[in-house]
Amino acid sequence: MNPSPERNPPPRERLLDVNGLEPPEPMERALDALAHLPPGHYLRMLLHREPYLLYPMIEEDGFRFETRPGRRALFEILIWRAGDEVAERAALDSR
Amino acid sequence: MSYAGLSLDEAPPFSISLRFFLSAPPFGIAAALLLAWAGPQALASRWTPAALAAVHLMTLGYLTMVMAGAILQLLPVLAGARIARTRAVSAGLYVLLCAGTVLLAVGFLTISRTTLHWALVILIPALAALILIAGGALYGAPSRPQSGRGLGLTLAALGVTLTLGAWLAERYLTPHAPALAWTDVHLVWGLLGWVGLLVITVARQVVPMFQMTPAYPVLSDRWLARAIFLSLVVWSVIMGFAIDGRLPPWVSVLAALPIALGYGWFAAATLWLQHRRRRRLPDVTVAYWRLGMGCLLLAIGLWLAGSAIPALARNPHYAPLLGVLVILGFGVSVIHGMLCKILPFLAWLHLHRARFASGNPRATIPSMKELLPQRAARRQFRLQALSLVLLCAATLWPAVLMRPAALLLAVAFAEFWRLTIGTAWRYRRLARSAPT
Repeated sequence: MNPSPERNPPPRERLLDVNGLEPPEPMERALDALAHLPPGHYLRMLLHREPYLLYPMIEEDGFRFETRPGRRALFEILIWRAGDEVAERAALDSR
Repeated sequence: MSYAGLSLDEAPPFSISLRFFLSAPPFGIAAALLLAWAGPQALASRWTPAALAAVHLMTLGYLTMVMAGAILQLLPVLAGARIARTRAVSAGLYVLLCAGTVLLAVGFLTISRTTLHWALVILIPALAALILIAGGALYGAPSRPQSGRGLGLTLAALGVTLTLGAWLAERYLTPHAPALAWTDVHLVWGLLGWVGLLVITVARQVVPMFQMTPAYPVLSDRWLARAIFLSLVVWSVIMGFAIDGRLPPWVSVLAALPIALGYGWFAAATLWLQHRRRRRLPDVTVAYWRLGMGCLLLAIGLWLAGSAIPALARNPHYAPLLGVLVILGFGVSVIHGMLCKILPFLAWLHLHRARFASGNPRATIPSMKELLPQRAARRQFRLQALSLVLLCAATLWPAVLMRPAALLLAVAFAEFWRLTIGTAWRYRRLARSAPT
């Protein structure tokens, strides 16, 4: 459940699989992972429900995000630091 | 900022709801000690002074106190509904609700019309203000999710309960006292309208989210609260005719069936969803909700039996047992269970916001399980469940069991109070230590 590399992860991606965890554990883990996100990287969060409460928190913290229907979980949320164009491009270009 | 109706920017300070949450358990302790003091005669019928006082300490002092705090906290977040002058409004409401409840209990206990009158003078504006302020905020809210509609019905049910209660209390002990059956209408609106509809409204959000279950079936999610509210209105009108003797009593029993079916469906659906929860780790909120839903089903079963067998309903043990199952078994269990999640969750949320406001975003925040230790919560649950079983038995064998059951209930409430104070103390310590 910790940030872990998938089989062939995109080089600029950090994966956080919190699918099936009870709130606010997914938020706690996401905020922790974001605090350690290196420049030029984005976080891919896998979750069973849309984390509405997380969105205003990460925006307050200076992050941007995009939510997509997931392949490995119901929702995949891509999160990058605002102004980090490399990370943003890598996130939006990722599948 | 608002996502799916959630507006964190509108969240009021934690202290506003916290004072309601922390002041509620002492009313539970007072109700239990009152039953212990009155002893075997306490629940000899539902009309004893001790029973009337204890019931109102529990329903107004505990249930309504927590529900008012939760509404003031959640309304702005869930519906983006801004409550004007939240601090002043909540402080005023809090003081009036505490004072009015104490006076009402003293009035019932001492059989004093003057005290009851003053209790009404305080409680009517307090509860009317809650209805008008929360209702007005809902009406003017930018987003009105499904839970907003449920909340509106809940407030309307509180309005009916308050109106009937004020009418009954004002004429209590006078030659103009209304027929006793009107107290049934008052208590049904209070327990199955105000308390029950709020539980149903909140359940659709918190059961799937915090208990990791699938969502409630779409049909019941959308219509159950409205159908129950409508059934309550129809039943009340029919009760009015039955009390006047213009309709036979069995028609009112028939009219109450949809309410019982609605709650039976809700309890069964909740238990079924809990059975299918994704994560099967022990959880005290799940345990409390199971206990609450089980008691609700038992109460419905008992009411159906009492309706089918009039001799059973006339038995003096019947009404007190039904009351214990609904108030303590259903209402208190579900509210305890919700507080075990909502209290540490709100503490965590507000600590997180304080962390950013302090400019120290990497400061460590304890997890929810550290804010409200699970082991202590499970121990408290066992005490509460045991006291509930004992109190149910005490309605049947009061001579032997009433005092030990009531004392154990007081201990269980005191333990719950200790848990909530512990969470608040950890929150305060961490919030104060955040550098500004």
